[in-house]
Order: sequence, then structure tokens, then C-alpha cells
Amino acid sequence: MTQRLPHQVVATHVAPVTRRPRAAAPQLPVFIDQSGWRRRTLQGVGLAVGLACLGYLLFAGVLISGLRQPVGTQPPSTNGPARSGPDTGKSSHGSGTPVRADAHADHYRRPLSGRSAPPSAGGPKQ
Amino acid sequence: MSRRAAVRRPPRGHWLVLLLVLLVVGVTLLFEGWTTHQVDAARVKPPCTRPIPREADDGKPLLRFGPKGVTTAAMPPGTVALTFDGGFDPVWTPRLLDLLRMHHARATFFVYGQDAARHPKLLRRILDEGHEIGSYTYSGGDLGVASPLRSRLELSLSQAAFAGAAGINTTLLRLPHTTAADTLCGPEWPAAQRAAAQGYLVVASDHKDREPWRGVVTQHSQTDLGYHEAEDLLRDPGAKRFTTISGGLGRPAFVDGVPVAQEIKGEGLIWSARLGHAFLTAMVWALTLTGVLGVLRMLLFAVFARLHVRRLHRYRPGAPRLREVRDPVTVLVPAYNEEVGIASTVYSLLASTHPHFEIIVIDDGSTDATADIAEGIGDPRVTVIRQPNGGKPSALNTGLARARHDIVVMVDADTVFEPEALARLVQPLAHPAVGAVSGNTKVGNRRRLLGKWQHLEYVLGFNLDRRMFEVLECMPTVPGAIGAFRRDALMGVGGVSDETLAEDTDLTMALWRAGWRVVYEQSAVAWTEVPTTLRQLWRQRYRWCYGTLQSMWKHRHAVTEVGPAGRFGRRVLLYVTLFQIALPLCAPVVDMFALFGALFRDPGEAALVWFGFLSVQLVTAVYALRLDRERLRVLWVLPLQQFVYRQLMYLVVIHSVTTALLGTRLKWHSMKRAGTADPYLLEAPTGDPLDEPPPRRSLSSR
Repeated sequence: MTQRLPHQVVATHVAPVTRRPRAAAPQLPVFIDQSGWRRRTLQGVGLAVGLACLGYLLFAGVLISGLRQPVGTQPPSTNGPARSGPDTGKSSHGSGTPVRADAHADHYRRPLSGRSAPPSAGGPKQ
Repeated sequence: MSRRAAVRRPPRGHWLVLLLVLLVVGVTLLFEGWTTHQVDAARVKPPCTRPIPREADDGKPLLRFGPKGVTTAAMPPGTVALTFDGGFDPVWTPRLLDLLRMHHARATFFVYGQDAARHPKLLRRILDEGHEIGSYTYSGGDLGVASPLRSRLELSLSQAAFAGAAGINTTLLRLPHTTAADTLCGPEWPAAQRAAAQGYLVVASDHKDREPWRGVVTQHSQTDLGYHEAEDLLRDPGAKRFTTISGGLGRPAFVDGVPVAQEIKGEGLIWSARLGHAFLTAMVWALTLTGVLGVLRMLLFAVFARLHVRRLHRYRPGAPRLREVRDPVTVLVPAYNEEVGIASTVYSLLASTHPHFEIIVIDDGSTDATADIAEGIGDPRVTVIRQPNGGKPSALNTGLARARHDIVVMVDADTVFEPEALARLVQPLAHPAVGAVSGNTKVGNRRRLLGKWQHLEYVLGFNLDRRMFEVLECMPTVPGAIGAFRRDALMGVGGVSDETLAEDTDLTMALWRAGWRVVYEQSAVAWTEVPTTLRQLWRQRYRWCYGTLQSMWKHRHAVTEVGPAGRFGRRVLLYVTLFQIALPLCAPVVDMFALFGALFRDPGEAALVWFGFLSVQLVTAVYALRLDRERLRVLWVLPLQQFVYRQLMYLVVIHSVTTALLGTRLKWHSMKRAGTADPYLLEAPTGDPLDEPPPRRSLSSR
């Protein structure tokens, strides 16, 4: 029993003399991180996760509250002025789009002018 | 870094993070539940009781609700507007698009917002190939029965999804569950009116029997059936041209580009829906894992407890007959401010039937009359040692140095031994390989609810646990309340270490690693006082849990060792990691889902799952109580345990794991005790180890 003591005593005597805190490391309770980098890292991670969650919640809130905006105030007209087009159909509306042959027309995605622009071909332009 | 900064309060920030995470889980659960119509459902079309107004009932499929009433429109003769609605189909939607391209035909697709969010590429392909997009609401909710909030969200969320997926919005709308215009009857009509007020042109379809040469708006699903219907129509000689709704009307496209801001918002929606979905998948996995682990644990309990019982009662031929241990025993009673309980502890020990023993009470710098009371007992077998306060390990080491006998029993100063306990506890030491024996702790103060809960936990958890550990030969803890040790074994591992807060677990693990076996003697019963307030319980469990984590980490290399030590390490570390860390960490998810299930899903289903789990637990509890010869009446508190106790237990684990990961140095406050309470509360070292080193460590090994 007492044979073990000298070792202890030597260890604790050496430490202060050499001024190296690491000499006391084996005595340190498990998990204690003296440098504190683990705490700082984890706090950073926690902060990031927390902010991400907060951001998500805020975004969800903004999204839901921003959704009150309708696409318009009244439906688009179904029988407005006839369009000028290269090929007028024989339909009762007096206008129409090309028959079956309009495949290569470019699509109407994101027209530059928007809906208020002068009427252009519904499906195909050109 | 100043020395003062080294000691910190227990962390708190993780509660905020946990709260936020749970909030996010809640929101995603709600949203997911909303899209699948578990929350605020509107899935079933109500029966029609009122036809649509006469002026609109002319069979024309396009309805425009203007300020001057409703006007209708139809396709001109020879024009076919193919419309496809319903969900995207990963097989048939692309095939349909190929078919349409082959025939140079245009069509209109009414798309669910959630499909657009999930398959933005498909949406873009549809647009790129010249087709038109209409809204089919976000999740297919029936607008006739939907709540005002759902109606609004169904429309605007799908617009957001379209904006995010392809940068467009659309003013075409088809109400889910409607076909021809006359199906917009009953509550669908006002719903259509409300939608129109938000700028939508409502598109129904023509009746199926209308001839294509007269001009029709057809309606197909994106399936095998829809494909073949479309194929037949495309071959129909009466159909002159196939075009979109706007094309048929000769109007500008009903699909329009959106400002960048809306596009960004839409992309945000898509991402959050996607993230939410992934998150939810992870949560479901966690839930499954928890369920499997929970059931597995109960099964393990039952199987191993049964094995243990059979092993105890079965005669094994060839087993060595062990001698009865009647050797003298030294009983160590470390005490710190235990004036209420010390006398009964010592008297109960003095009443032991064991023939020869001495009792050493180590007063660890108590500020009350503990030492005086112990000295006042006046029995020659009792010795009292006073030492300056140094913590429980230090007190035990002091006592160990003064122990005269080869068998050492450690007892907490708030524990009462049964007369037989001491004699029975030391019997397994007859086997030369056994280094330590754990006794059976029972809850003494079980009058109140908290005591009853802990009683159940001791019987159901700890005692069944110990039987299993005994069979598997991996007992991780000899409790501080009642444990017998071989003095050689203790000396061999250098006495009791104070590197962890659970010195009993640490010591037991060290014994295993030194090659000793640790066994369980269920007939050696000691009655211990358990915390009576939630606060005390929290502190006790925090210390236990944190200490166990520390001990596991300290002895982690046992996993790779050979022989009994390695076997012990692998089994116990696996068990504790799975059942005492992973299981509690997943538990909050279970509560979230349970709450969600009870509120929004079928409450019957949630109740079934809950009672299923509960009955498994009940069966195990009945078995455990009968094994321990306890009354079954206490079982009524088991269902209640699910509500406060269980949450407390998993929050403790979360708190401990966070503290361990942070690596902060904590000051453990000794708690107020009324002779009851926690086995022993040790104060963690406070200052820098350099400045206040040895007295408390004089006997610890390393």
C-alpha cells in the first residue's frame, strides 16, 4: 500500500518544479479538457445548428406569411382580342395556334415581357 | 486562460439547441402531415347536394368568374386540348411526353405543387417541350371541404413550388376531384369562386362522350390508361389540332415568368420540403431504432434473467462445491454529513449474522454530528476515523489502509443491511477468481410516487440488468451501497480512484481489467434511501450518468484486450452505448412522434403502439417483481412513469453527454440531505490540479 505513495509524491513534486501542467494530466478527471478547444468547437457547432434551425423556422414563417399574395385579382380573359399570328386557325374564335406542326416553336417559359405584353402565341410563337 | 475560468457552470446552451431542433422537427412533421392530409385533412369530395348555377351549366369546360358573373368557354371545333392531371408518374409521364413530341402535339398538365417540388426537372421538361402548366393544388386537397387556411395554402404553395422549380406561375386551375363542369357542384362551386377571386381560370373537362371534331378539353391521368387514351385521340381523324388551353382559346399563355424574389422563395420552399423530408426519414429511422432497441432490451432482460434463475437452481454435475466463507470482514462506511442515517446503518450492520467483522466509519470532514454519533455507538467492533473532507474515494482509501481483514465490504451511510446480507454477500468470494460481489439494492423510501418510480426502476432496470450481466460475465458496477471486495484485488488496482464521478463503476471496471471476476448475489439485500425530490434525483442521475461515461472512456481500451477483460469490455461497452446512451438520446423523437400520432393521426393507432410497448414492459416488470419477491401492486405507477420520469431520465443523458463532450470542469455541489438521498455526493475538484493536489488522492493509484 504505502509503496505506492512515493510514486505519487514524486509525481506531484516534479510537476510544479518543471512548470508543466501536463505532468498532472494522468490525475485529471476523465473528460476534462483543459485547453478548452473542445468546448469552443462544440459551442461553435451548437451555435451553427441552432442558427440553422432558427433560420429554417424564420424562413418557414416568412414563407407562410408571404403566401397571402394571390396570382391576380381576376381570372384571365378567355375571349379577348384575336392574336395576330402567321397561321390563323379556322376556329370560331378566329384565331388559333398552328396545327400539329408547331413542334419546333420555342417555349413560352419566362417571356421577357410578362403577361401584360402584347399578345403573343399561346403555345408556340413564330 | 485564467485558472478561474476553468471551473464552469453546467452547460445550458444545449437546451436551447434541443428546443430549436425539436421545434424544427415539429414544423417539418406538421408540414409533412399537412401534405399527406393527416393535419387539416381535405381529401374526400363531399357529396353534391346542389347543382351548379344554370347559366354556367352549358357543358363548356372553361369557367371564368368575372365581376359580371360566370362566363364559359370551350374549344373551337376540331381542336383538342389534352389535359393531364393527377400525380407525376416516373414511368408514364416521360412516356407521355415522348408520345406528344412524336405527334408534335401540345397539351396542358395540371400539376400538384408537391410534385413540382419533388421533380423540378420533369416540370421544366414539360415546359421546354411547349406544354402548358396548370395548378392542381399543392397536395390534392379538395377545396370544397378544405379549411380557409388550407385552401389558400394549397394554391399559393403550389405557385411557390412552380416558381422554385421552373421560375413560372400559372393562372390555370383544376379543382381536384372534379371532371366535367357539372361536377363543380355543391361546395366546389363557392370554392371555385374563391379561387377565381385569386386570379385563376377554372378548367374542367368536357364529357367523355363528346366527339373530338366538335372541339374538346379531355382529361387523362398520367398512367398507362391515360397514355392509351391520349394515343387513341392522337390518331383520331376528327381532331385537327392538339394544343394547350391558351392555344385553343387563342390567348396569350396562361403561364408566366416570375420575379427573381419569388423564384428564390420557391427554391427555398423546395429545399425546405426536401430537407424536411430527409429529416423526417432520419427521424423515422431513429424511431425504428428506438423501438427495436427497446423491445430487444426487454427480451434480453427476460431471456437472461430466466437463464440466471435456472443457473441458480440447477445442479450442475462436476461443479466444485465451494466452502462456506466465514472469514473476518472489514466493513467500510464512508460518511459525509450523514447524522440522520449513520446510526441505523451501523446498527443494522452490527445485527449481521456474519460471525466476525469490524466496522470502520470514515467521517469525511462532516460539518454535522456524524462522527460523534458513530463514536457514541460504543461497540468494540466500530472504529471511527475522522479525516478532512476529501471526497468519497479518498475516504474509502483511508478506510482501506486501516482495514485489518482480507474481505472488504463497502456500504453507503444511508443504507440499511438485512441481517443475512453481510454473510450472503461474501459467499461468492469462496471462488478464488471472484474479486468483487455486488449485492441487491432495494428502495427503502417508496411511499411517495417518486420513490415508487425508483423502486420499479431498481427492480426492473438494475436488478434485471445485473442478472443479465452476471450471465454474460460483464457486471459493470458494484453499487456503492452494497459491495464486497477482496482486499488484494483492491490493492492490485491501486485502491479507489477519483478520476471519475462514479467511483464504483470505475473500480469495478478496473477489477475486470485486472483479471478478476465480478458477480451478483441477489440474496444479499440492502435497503437504500433514494432521492425524494426531482432536483435531487436529477443531480444523482447526472452524476451517475456522467460518471459512467467517464468510466467507459477511461476503460475504453478494454475492448481490444484479450481474455475476460476484453470480453467484458466489448460486451459492457456495447450494451451501455446502445441501451444507456443511444436509446435515451433517441427517446425525445419517440415522444414527438407519439404526440403527433395522438393529435393528428389515428389516436387509436398511437394508443395501440403505446399500450403495446407498455404491455411488454408490464410483463417484464411482473417477472422482475416476482423474481425479487416484491408486491405487484406497485405496477400501477408504471404507466405514469412514461410522463415525467422517462423524460427526466433521457434529459439527464443528453445533459451528461453534452457536459462530457464539452470537457468543462464542473463544481458539483453537495446537496442537502436528510439522512436519505443519494449514496454519496462527491465534489469534483475545483481548482487547478497543480495548486491543490494530493491529500485527496493519497491512495489512488494513478
